[in-house]
Amino acid sequence: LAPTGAPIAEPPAGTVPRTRILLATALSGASVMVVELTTTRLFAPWFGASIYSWTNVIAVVLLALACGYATGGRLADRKPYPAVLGGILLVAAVLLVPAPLLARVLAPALVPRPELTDPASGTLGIVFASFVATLVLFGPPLAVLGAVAPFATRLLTDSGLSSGKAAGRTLAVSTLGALVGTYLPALLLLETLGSRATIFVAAGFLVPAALLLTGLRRRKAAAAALVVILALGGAAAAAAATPVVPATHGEEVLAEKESAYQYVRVARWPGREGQPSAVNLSIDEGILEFHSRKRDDPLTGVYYDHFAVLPDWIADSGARPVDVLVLGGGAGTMRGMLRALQGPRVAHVVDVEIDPVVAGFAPRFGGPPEAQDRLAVVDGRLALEAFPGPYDLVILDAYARQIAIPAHLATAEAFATVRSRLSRRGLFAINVSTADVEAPLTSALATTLRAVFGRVWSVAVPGSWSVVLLAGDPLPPSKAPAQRGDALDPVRVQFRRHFHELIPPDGAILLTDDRAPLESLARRIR
Amino acid sequence: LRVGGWRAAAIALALAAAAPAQDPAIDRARRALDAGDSASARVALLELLAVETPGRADAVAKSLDVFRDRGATDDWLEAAERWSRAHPDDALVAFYRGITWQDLKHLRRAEAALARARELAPNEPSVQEAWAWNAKLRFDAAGFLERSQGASFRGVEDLRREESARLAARPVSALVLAGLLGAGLLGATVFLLWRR
Repeated sequence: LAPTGAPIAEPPAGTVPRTRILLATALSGASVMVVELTTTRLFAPWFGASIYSWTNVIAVVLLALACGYATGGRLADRKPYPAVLGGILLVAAVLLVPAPLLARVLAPALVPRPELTDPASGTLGIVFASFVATLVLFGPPLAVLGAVAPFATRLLTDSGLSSGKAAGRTLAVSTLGALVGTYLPALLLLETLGSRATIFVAAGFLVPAALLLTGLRRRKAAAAALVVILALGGAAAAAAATPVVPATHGEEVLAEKESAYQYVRVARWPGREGQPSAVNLSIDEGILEFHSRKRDDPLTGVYYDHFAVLPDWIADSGARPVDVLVLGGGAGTMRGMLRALQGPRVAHVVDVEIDPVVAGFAPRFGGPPEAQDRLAVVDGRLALEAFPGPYDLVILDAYARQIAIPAHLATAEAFATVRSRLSRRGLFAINVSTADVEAPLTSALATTLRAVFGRVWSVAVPGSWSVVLLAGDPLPPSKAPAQRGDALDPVRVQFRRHFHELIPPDGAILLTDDRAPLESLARRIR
Repeated sequence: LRVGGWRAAAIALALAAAAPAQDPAIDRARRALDAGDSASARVALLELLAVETPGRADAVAKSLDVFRDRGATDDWLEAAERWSRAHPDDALVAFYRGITWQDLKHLRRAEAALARARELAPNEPSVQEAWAWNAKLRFDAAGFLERSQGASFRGVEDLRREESARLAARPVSALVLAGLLGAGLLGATVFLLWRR
């Protein structure tokens, strides 16, 4: 060991205790995993959090680490000094800091303009853009971090460990660090700090790791660590104080939050040409807007209005009010619409939403549940087990990653459970986002619904990409009321005009728990 | 999406075809549908389609509205398809079948019916418009430009400009440049580590 009190800028090989090397390696492993798990969320407002975005992040991490392993091993052989490894860790920290700040500049610049693309090429563009953005911002720091493990192995070998033991211990502590780094964003950091500050935390891990190896005297090391951590804390505070996505086109951002599931944003949009303003809740990249409510207008002008008509198509709904289960209730728009427009024809509503942040917005933006209603923050499939009904109307309006119904909610097994929860007069209705009901996604959904329910009807929502799929036992059109003298009458006209039995083409996929490729089906529009 | 443009034009065309008199077959279809007797309604529709009068276009449009307003679009389509199989040269019925499927978001069936209508009436602006819109609704910008070439329906030039812009936006030069930048940064990092 170095003499006490003597400043050593670059100690010779083997002069740093093994525990320090191993601790630094563990911190580096934790940092890599925090970055890996947070990057998708950081880019989610522009690229979404699809399986493609995750794949791109993992691909860039693997590519960068592979580069880092190769170069790190070579460098360790040429300069096997702990201070060099400390410098590597500091460089990685410095490279990580600007990444979250540059993300909000680079990502929107790479996203294809939605008005100039279609869902298929737009999705491909987003997939490519997410890879490029991840590579530009996170490739270099992750490559530098890749150099840590082989370097640490060399230092441990120089300290007298056999090469086998050195490699084994390095990999073990690095993986244990990564294990901690895996849980930190999900359980603590993302929801409390947000994605940008979480990246700063990952950079912050590397500072003490570097100081453990630089050989600075204790006071200097502490002072340096304090300065760097204060700087990172300031950057994190600044990031937390600014919106994740800047306001555009006259919108007023009412709330935004990063939940365990997604980036959530509520904004008020000015109405066009004298129309009332609308409050929209959007998720991640916001290709589609959800939960639109307009001030002074009971109708949303979008697909919710068509779902509000559904109690009309349930036998005796006037005499016996209907019990409703909404899977994917969001901030309560569907429930609010049913209550406001169908009044006493609706008895109880069980509103199921998986994201507590979205559900938490209900009192402010969607309306709190009435005394006879229930708000359950749970996965839809679990809700079908936990709240067995029976229901007269089950609405599936759950979307994961914008364009796809969560796979486990759109399988023959899931539909069979729904059917078992329906009353004898019950209806099952699904909101499907599609421009063409003969496209593979809708055909697969219709095929699966027919396999479970026997018959399926579709109701195209005019001027939109929305289609209502209906299964169960709807009233024949001649029996459903055409007019009730309320705000829904124009919607009733449209509903009847677009109501027809859907017979999917032969050969469409039957979706099962074992195989339900909804994301790829949603991409295939032709 | 201005999905209603072709339909508005089609209805305007049909209404301009005169002969506003109420058709007894339409009345029979209406009464049958109100009574829940869809079989009789389909028979009445087939009778209506069989009558060649100057106001036939108007009558077909009205029959479609009667069926659709009663949630019986499937019955109208079933009868009309049966008619088209027996009378494949009836452009009017092929056209209305096409725009009805299009309105129900059945874009493939719509395309098949409209393709037939276009073969039979290539210069009819409503047919041209619906045929071009089918490509637009399927996000096929190149198809729209090809189908609307020389077409005369209202707003065609604006729509062609929109779709041309969509096509022009396809190149991903910015993305490629950014990708090269990313690869370059990664390469530079590796190079610097390698050279130390």
